[in-house]
Amino acid sequence: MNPDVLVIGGGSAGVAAAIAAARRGADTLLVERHAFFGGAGTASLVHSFCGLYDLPQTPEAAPQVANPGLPAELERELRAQGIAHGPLRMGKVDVLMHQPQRLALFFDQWCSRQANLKVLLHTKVIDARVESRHVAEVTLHCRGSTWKVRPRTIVDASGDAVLAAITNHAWDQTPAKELQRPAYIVGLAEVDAAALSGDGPLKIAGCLARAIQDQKLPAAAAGAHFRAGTTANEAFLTLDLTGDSPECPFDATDARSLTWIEMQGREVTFAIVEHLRTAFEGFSKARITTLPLRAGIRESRRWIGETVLTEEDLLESRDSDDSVAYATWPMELRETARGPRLLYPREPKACGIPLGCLRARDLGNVFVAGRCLSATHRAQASIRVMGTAVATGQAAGIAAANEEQNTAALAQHVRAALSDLKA
Amino acid sequence: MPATTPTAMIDLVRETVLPDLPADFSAEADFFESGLDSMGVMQLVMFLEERFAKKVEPDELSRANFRSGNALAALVNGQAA
Repeated sequence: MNPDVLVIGGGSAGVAAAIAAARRGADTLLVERHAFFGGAGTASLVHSFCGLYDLPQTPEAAPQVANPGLPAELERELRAQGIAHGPLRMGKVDVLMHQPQRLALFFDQWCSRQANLKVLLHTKVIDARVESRHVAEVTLHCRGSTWKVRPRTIVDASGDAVLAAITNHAWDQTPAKELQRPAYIVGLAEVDAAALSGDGPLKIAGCLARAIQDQKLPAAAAGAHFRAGTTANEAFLTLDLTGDSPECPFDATDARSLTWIEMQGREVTFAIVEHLRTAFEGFSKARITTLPLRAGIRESRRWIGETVLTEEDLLESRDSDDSVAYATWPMELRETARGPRLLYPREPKACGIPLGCLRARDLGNVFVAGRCLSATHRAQASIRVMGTAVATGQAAGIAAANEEQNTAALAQHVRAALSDLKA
Repeated sequence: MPATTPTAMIDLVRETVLPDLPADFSAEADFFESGLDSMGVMQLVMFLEERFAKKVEPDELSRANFRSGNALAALVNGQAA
């Protein structure tokens, strides 16, 4: 079983990479470590796609999907099937709200229908062998069973640059105190819709602030934020956490850190809901009905690619002949667990992501997509979002399906393919 | 405690919740349009009590009372709408 293209990780970027590669005729294998596809948008209950739409030029402008091909197809299908609703304008940006459980099923079906694509759940990469600046062989693992594959090309859409760590390729990770914080998201039922409309969220915030001051809730409850779900009386509670534990500072690639986040996330979200049941009108019957498969991780390792996307690229909305995907989300800094800080480009224009950011610097047959692509800490705060991940995944998948060649020439192939998709 | 001012309130919001508020942010300008959200309000409720001995009551929690420097100063000074 030696695929042309191996895609590591079945999140938004990985699924898009796999479908894009398969559609270009590559025999493609997609492996996902957990039980379903969709990554943050399913496993971590992130319930909206950010970065799908262009930045509005005026407050009245209608939302436009920023990238052709799979991002546009996904947006259209999710709305047509009632899995998503929107777009909704939130401040200066547009987002598409979706139902995480139905998104998981949608991704199953999207992958199953695709010729040339084989998918394996519960499968992770545990080893790789490098020969003359190429990954020659990858060891896969499922519940104690291991086997080897020799793909021609690999796309790392693992989120954590797993292949960079395994191969000792150059990667970067921001110091713990500046990392974007993790979020623990749970789904709730039987929340009165009225409690989340109008001034409701502010009143909830005040109720939680009072409980924290009276030491009825832990200080970590200050990272809480409620949002109505897409169906009646359902809601999501998002809890931003510092991720720092008594044992170690936050690091999403350290099992001790992840263990702390998952357990603290459950403890604090249950305590918040329990408190609101007695203290806040509209929550008397509220209960947590959905736990995430894992906490939402915004940032960990980043690949060092041939090119590194920077904050200035985004602020200036730079574009080049090598751009293969467009980033439209502001740099959303979450370096504290007390809410976002948004840095917008100087003009409301998309930033081109060069193919060099999607290509490992020192491994000729490795491409990268999603939140671990080659970008600085600040730039990653824009490109990490799911809508942009679909676009970078698509570009990496198209590139991976091509014969190996220099990046400038390859970028032209990818751009031509994207241009055909636009038509 | 002497009455607070809209400027002191804008400084508090800038220091604790919205670091990117411009220097010339006016007393009537809208914090929510500059990114204030419910998590930010939660922070402000705690800081108002700590630093200004203002205990925000449930019925005072509204966009109207938190929307600007003027609105927050009125809230703290006991002149809220």
